[in-house]
Amino acid sequence: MTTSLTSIAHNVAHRGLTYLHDHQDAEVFPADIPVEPEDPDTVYKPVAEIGMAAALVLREGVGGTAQLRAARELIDFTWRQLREGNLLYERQVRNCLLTDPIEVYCHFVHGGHRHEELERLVTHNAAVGSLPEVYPNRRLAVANSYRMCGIPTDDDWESLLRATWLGATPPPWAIDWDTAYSMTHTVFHVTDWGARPHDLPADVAGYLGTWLPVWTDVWSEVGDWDLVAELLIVDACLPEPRFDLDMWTRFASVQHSDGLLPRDAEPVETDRVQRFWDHCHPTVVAVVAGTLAVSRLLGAGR
Amino acid sequence: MEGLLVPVNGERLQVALTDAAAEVADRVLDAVDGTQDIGLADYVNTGADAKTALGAVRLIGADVFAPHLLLGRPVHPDDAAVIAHSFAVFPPAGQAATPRQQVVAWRDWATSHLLARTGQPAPAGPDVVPTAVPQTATALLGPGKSWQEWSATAAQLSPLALPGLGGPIAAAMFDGARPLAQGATQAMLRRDFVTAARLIRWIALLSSSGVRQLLDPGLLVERIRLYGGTGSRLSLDLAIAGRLLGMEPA
Amino acid sequence: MSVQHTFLPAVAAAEEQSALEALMVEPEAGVSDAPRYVEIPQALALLKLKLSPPLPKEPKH
Repeated sequence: MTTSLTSIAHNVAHRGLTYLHDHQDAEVFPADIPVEPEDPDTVYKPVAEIGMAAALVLREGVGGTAQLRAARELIDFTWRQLREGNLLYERQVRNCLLTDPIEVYCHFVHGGHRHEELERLVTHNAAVGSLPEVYPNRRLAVANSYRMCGIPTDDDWESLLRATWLGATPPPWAIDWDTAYSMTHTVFHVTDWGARPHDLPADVAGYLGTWLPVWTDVWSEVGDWDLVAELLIVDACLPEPRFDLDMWTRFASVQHSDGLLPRDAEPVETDRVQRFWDHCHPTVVAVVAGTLAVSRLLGAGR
Repeated sequence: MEGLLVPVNGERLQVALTDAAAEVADRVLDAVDGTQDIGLADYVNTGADAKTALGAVRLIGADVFAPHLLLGRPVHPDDAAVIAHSFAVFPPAGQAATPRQQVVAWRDWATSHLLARTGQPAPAGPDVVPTAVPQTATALLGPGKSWQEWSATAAQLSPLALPGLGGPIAAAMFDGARPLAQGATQAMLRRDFVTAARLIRWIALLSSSGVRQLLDPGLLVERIRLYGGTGSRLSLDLAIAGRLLGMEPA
Repeated sequence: MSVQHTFLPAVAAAEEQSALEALMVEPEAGVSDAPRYVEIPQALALLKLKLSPPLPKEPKH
């Protein structure tokens, strides 16, 4: 069973990465991402997320040679999209309280890209300690970004976690779609994307061990594959992942032949560029889910 | 009016039975929430379609004993006779080979077991009311079932979630805190309040017996009441759970 | 007993028996007016409408 699950998860990640790799061209990506885009979600955020997925593939190192090469090329491509970090630097200079520059940058550091001026800025900002008010799970994202970059902070991880929805372990039936995303991100950041599964307190890990299968069941039934992919990452971040073969089989079966992972059960556009932007996010998440699952299954996780 | 029950199609029969079961459930609910008798005999004997009414009594099954088991109300001899007659008109299947037949057999066992306890003579003949304890608790609720299968079966067996009934099914539930809670959570998120309420009954029963549960059944009862759970049988399930938990009637 | 055996309706036919059995084993089939979740064609819409506000605009990582 472990072998077939490993192979399913490997294929999901490999095909997803191939899809992302096949779309790094001028037809898909605009020539220049503005430092202050009207809507950061349109290009800036997807570029950052593709870079993050590539960085995690490189970090885990469980893909084959072709997969690692594709990840290398993707992280280099997205770094160029961010103008070798100048975009992040200028964004931070113009908006000193923004946290997304460090949240994006930390993954590229892992991918071998540095921007010294930006590091000086964010190190200074960490010392100032003036953070905008954000969702508690987003606050954990900031804490993990500093941790990944090796920039010291006085973050109290336990109290940051307890401020989140998940940290309070509320009744599992009193969750909604948006809060489910918050819950997943709390786990991603506390465990540094599965690198530190035992940083989850025992009560939270136990809570997730019981209720994650239910949430995954409910949202897969309605074909909310984007959220299901995030929930599969959560599973791979737990001290004792469940790795449900049936669920992974269903999840893998919705992946298109070119590697696109549809965000939901609605029909997928045929236009090459449109379908990429519509389904880039779930495909990125699927790459991360497959990569972390393979890594944990092979015991290569730290 | 028996012509109504001449086999036309299964769906029409089910609708007729469902409507009648709602009336029976309303009567039991009034008894659980208030002070009046259920008046089963009155309902069956004065209605237009006695056969459908008796089928509804079979369907509600052990729940007709809820006022007796929860509140210590006496079981009226006429009501006991009606329950026995429901077995005579809708005779239990001889064997329980499939899971579906096994569930039915357990529900019939609960009804007949509680009927026998009332000490009323069986008016419909000696062999009509089943008395043997089925041997299928492990097959239905044993290890190796997924939480989805396990909780769906527990929901089907919810009429057995009554205080003082006991038996192998209730014993199996004692080990099922996790799948019960998972199934109830799934049902709540799917807005399937009917299934949720049935599972909440088990959680309430176990909780009232001092068995630690993963979910607070009182909050769940309140939630369904406040968020629009309606229907006679759902209300009855909630009322029984509420009584088990010492909550005020809705 | 006040209700005599001879006054009972005829024993239920096989189809009537099977209608009753179906109701005894199906929590969702027609026993109440609860939403029949799995039969709703736009099940996704149900879950999103009832469970969730729209995605917030700020970027997530």
